[in-house]
Amino acid sequence: MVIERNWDDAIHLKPKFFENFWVQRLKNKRDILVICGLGWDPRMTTLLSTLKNFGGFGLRDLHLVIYRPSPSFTSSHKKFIDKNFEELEKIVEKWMVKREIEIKTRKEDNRYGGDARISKFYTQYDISQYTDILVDISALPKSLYFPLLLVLVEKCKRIDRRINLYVIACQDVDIDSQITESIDDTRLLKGFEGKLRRVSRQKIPTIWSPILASNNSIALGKLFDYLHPKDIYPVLPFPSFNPRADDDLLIEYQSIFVDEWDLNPLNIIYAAEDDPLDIYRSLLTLYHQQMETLKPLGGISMVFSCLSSKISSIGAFMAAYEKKVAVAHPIGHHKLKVNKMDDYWSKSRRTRYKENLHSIWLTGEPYE
Amino acid sequence: MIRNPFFYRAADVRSGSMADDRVFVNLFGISALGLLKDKIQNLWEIPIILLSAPGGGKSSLMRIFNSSALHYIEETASLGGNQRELAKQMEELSAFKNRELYALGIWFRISDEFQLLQDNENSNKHGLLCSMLNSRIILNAVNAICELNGLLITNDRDLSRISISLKVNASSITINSWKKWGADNGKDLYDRMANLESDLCDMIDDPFWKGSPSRLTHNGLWSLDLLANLEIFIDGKPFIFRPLIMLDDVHELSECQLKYLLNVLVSRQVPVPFWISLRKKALGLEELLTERLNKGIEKGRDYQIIDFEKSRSDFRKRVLNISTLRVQSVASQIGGLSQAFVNFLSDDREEIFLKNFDKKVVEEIKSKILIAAGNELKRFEKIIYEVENGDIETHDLCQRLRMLEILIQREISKPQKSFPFYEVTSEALKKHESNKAIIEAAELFLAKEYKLPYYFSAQRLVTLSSYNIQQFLKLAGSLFEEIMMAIRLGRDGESFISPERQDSIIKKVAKDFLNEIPTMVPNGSHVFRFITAIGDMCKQETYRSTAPYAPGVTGTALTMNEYEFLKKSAKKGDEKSQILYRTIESAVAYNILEPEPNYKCKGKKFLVLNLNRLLCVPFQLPLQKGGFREQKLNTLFQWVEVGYKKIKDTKERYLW
Repeated sequence: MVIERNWDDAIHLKPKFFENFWVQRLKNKRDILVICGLGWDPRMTTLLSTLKNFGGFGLRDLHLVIYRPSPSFTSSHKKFIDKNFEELEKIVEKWMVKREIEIKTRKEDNRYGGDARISKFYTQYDISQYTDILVDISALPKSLYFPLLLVLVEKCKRIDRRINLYVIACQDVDIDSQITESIDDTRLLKGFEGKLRRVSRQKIPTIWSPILASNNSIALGKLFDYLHPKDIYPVLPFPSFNPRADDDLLIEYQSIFVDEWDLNPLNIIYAAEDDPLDIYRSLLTLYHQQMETLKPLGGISMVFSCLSSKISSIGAFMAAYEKKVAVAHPIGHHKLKVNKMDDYWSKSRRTRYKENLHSIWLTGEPYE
Repeated sequence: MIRNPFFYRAADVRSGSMADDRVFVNLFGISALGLLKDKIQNLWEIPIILLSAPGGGKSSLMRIFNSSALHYIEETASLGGNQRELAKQMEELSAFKNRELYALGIWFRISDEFQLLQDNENSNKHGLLCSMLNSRIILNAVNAICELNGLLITNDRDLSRISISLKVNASSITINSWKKWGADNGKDLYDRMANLESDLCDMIDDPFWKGSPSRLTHNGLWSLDLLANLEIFIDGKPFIFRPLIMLDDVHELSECQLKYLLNVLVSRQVPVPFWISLRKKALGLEELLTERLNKGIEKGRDYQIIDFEKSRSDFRKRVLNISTLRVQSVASQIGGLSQAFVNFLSDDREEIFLKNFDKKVVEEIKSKILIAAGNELKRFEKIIYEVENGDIETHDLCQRLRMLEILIQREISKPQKSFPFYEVTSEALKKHESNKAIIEAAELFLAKEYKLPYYFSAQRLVTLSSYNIQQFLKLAGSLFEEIMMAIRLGRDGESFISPERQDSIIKKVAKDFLNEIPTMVPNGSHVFRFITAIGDMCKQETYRSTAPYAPGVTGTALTMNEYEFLKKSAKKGDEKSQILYRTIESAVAYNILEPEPNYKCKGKKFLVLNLNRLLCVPFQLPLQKGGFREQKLNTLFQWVEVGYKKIKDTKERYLW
């Protein structure tokens, strides 16, 4: 079986190569657009402060995505959002042209609409003036950056294949494991319907692959009810920062796997925690295998759910985009399980964030 | 390895293959059909609205009428057991005619994508909604026709064996639409509808879609009239059927779409049986409480409601039926043990008292009584003597003494003092002791004071389910986990769960349920704070020494006037009111609070908000309903914002 993968040779710049790459790249004129979100995550300004130090010349634009349920909404983490905003102002002053992009995430009837709104804005936005677009997902929720990346990748391809699109994430396993997301709405994200809900395809089996991290039992239950999958292939992190992470997850989800899903243990997939390309390859292999096997039944309808860290979700995005696979996600508000915010904002921590920036090059020069 | 049959959810949700339908039908509790039998006269005549919180059993009740499930029942009825009984009931409900399948059940879920259609609707406000519904109703109908006639939907040749024609008495909209979208054979009709559905889905999902929405709009829900006026032939032979359309999860529609659909539904012009299921939240708190859909529309004449949370009389029968079927599904693995789930649960309250109440406890309660009586001891000496010297067992004496303590506390705390020589009589004691609420309060107080199990037995398990099937399955599954463990280890004798273990397992499930609220429910943080405040207030009121609301307080209330005020302020956009209104709405929709509107008390009308019975557990409250403590609106604002403030001085109480 030959597995076609458009991003097989994609460039993933791990932290130790990050600085060198960008210093070299910025020696020439680059017209850069950075898109980042305004949130409480202490990693929000890490990319900008790092990038500023690398210097360079050319256009420097910043899109600050301000997402909230309504303009009057006050977050319980307001203190830290304000702190991030002040810091960002200082960084971009006299360096970048900042534009605030307001995304109202809830509709009048309180339903989620953030994905459609960000998608609509960037579908209409002209990106042809830039040579490089950097999407910093550190303070953006998955429900926003999945549709955002889809639109940008598609536009880069349609408009000018030379526009370089990078997705940047700051990996910190400790913080990521402490962030929980409530489940106000569970649904397919804009652009990732993947023909899943069509009655005309209801006889085609749905295969679901949730990419797992801890504390997602309720989300898994809701997603299961929403998707009604025929078969499930959970992805566990291995190798990982905590070598026992996969075992811990098996213990945590034992009842769901055995009692609720009647899961075949052979279905479990392992992929490296901090390598989005490993996730990408594993998911595409699964997709091809299932498609091949179930061809006599008309193929499959595949769906991914990223309940994992942001860095691994990029791999899922790449696989979903490439094969037009559906992405279902539980959408809600993010909060920290324990109140260690002061610790996460400490100087030592913030230095560590700068040493953990990952960059994945999605379109542009390497693919010409 | 034994799988816990109560946690197995695949049976509830998967649909499509024979194997899935078999599992579903085998685990379906027949007694649920009793909900429909009450409405049998109107079952096929007027629209039916199924209403409950998530997990109430709406989808299962619809799915059993889906053509594939009915087909499986028809085929296996002769084998006996559950299926034979189901077939018999289906005959009574007219889904079968002369033991043959007659209803063409079309069941599908409304998903969130429907509301996205609104973004593309133009002048014809619901044209795209109608278009999507029409395409899905017809696609599902063709699917069902294939299933009942042994044809394969994926086989073009099979589809071509279906011939279709429209009767002359169809409406003009249907005739015109049929000219545009219809076809005289199954394959062409299916392809046209599949293409329409595909275009609509692309329009919703593809950010770069460039088509014209107006090309896809339909003038009304003509598929309903179509199904009533279709003549179907399979290989030239007529196929006679009675269509039944079931739209599940209709709350996924936007408010405006839902209103449109409900108007169509109650217009008395729907020519086919039409059922919809709604989570309560979709009707809005106002309609939910009053059950008024529209002015001029009359329940019973224009539509019928089946409210799962109000159909309580047979809930116990339903869940016990379901539990037996679930245990039976693992019968081969549990060997010769009983297959009735309740047989695994100990119900021996007497034994707990026998084991835990001795002379030491008697002395402890007596000393508390003496402290309570204080200077007025003389007034109670006679009845104390009477109780102490009654010819009863020690454990019974403890209970009587505890009731006596409540009586003395009540007498002592009366604002108008009696003369010291005014003795409390034996008659007063007798009356007090025969009050069921006092007996229950004494049991609750003793359980708390001496750390005895309180939440156990099959009866309380059913009450703790708060009329919600999913909640019952969760509780029963957690208890059955213990049984399975004993069986796995070969200790069949230990598969009988003691009251202590039941109590401890139930407390853990209840605690998890409470802690999951912030993640599970929309506006979860507010709901959690509000529920915790109600629970804390109930606990404080319940365990007052005089037990004024015996056996306890398990809810709060606000006057209907204040509720109306809240609703209006929320509509006007007042943020504080919006938060409280949405909090209550969410809590009611997810069965966390059980509302009782227009409750008459003290010459006023109240909206009573009772806690879900499982949420009584973390606050050590009794499970009986009735006791509530009304509050001012300002207090409720405060609860949502900062939680409950414990009141030490009774003068400080925020009473209405």
